[in-house]
Amino acid sequence: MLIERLARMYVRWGNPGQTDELNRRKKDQSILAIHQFLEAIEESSEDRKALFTQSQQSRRKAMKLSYLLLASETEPETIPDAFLRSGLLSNGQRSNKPEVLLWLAGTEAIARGIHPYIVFLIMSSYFGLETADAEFRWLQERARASTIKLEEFIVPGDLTDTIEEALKEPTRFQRTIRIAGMPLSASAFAGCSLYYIEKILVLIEPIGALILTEMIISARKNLVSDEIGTAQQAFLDLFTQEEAEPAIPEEERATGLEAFEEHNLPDPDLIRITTNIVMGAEAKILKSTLSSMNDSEIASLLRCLEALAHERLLSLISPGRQKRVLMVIQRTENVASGQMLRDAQLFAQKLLTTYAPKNLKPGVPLSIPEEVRGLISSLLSKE
Amino acid sequence: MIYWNADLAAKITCNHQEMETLPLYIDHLVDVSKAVSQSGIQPKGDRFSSEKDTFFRYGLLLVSEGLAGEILEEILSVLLYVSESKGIEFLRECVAAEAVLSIANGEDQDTMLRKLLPYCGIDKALTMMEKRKFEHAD
Repeated sequence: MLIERLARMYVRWGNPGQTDELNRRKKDQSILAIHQFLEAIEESSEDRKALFTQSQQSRRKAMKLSYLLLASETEPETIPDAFLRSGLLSNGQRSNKPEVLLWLAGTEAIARGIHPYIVFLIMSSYFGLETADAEFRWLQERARASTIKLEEFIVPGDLTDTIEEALKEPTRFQRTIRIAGMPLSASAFAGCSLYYIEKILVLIEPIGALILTEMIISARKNLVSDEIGTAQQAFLDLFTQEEAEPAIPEEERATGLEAFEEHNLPDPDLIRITTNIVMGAEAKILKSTLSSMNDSEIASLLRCLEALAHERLLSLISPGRQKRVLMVIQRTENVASGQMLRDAQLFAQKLLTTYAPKNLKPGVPLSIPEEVRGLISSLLSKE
Repeated sequence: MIYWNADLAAKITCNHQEMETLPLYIDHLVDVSKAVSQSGIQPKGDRFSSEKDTFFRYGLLLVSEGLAGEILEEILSVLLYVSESKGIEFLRECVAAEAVLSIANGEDQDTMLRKLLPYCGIDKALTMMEKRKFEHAD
């Protein structure tokens, strides 16, 4: 829940102070610095070590640290600690807290492999709504002016065959893109013809369209047709799942107190499938997926697993994190079966995203085991 | 589990009269959500220009760019964290952010209400759900 996340930020970082404490000139300089950061990150996409030069040229301490951490390819989990140890966030520092936090957030997001445009949106939000909105417009114009173009590239697959039909329901298609996430959607669209990709891109505003275009180009470079086929299948599963949700007549909808209630009996089939996925997925992939999940999400996933899989999952996270996750479980009441299904499906989507676009080179067959692929598909199509 | 912080609690506090305005605001958010789920988010139409609530409008703009889930939640929570609004204005921003996430994730109206109504206080939330049940029974 959003309020929970907000409360955690307050507990961790304290009161943010007033963003208008920054005078106009200082604010303009800070905004210029994140524009430069965006450009530097884009230019160094193939070689983060080039950011050492940026670090030497930076005057601001937080910015300098940010470039240094990225140039040395620091693990995202250790970046908050690095900022804390730098003293930049201590009370004695005169620097504006949101400004330091924006560099922390930006550095962590880039290290996590998030697209620079999205990172820019995260960073600019630390200046408050008015500036974030102005920067959003600036980014839209930048995206509109982009000359990045896709070329024709077709991979046979179910998505290519059914996309004409799917695009007749643009609302559902938009929703599926959001639910699947950009990396999985891009991997799926990578095999589509230019004609269809252009039809898909007009469903999204310029920033999202540019991100998707760049991710499609990247997926075409890094994925083989098998992998694209798997991503297409996953996207189609999500699209079909959206369709499969029954249109409940208005009078039959849960409109009263029962809307707060769900069946509490866990679904044994759900637990079996999720357990088998955890047991069948490679440790490296699983570890990477877990690093993209917060403590509450891992705690929710544990509720969908048999004890055997608990052991495996917990062995892949640090002892400190194990304690935090177990504390979340202790504090939480029993979860309804519908929520358990949503939690397990969220994990499956994240696992697929880890499998789909990363660590795969051209010519190397997809490393997703056949059995796991089938289980993920079965979990995502579950209602 | 929410770890309450004194600063956040002070920022979100509002009086009974102000709280009374929240259900109407939630109705507005649900109406927009219905419109979006029926007709989608049409790009390039400046669709949200009529939305006077700047926080909610910005959230919808992010959704129209294809953002959802964890990333959208991160952006919205940062905006709330640095927000200089207080009292009911801040509470409305929290509710708007929750509604934006719900819209982005394609949640149905009931799920959305289950997330938004508790911001009115649990008694009020239960009363409103009962009222809705009664209206639909008619």
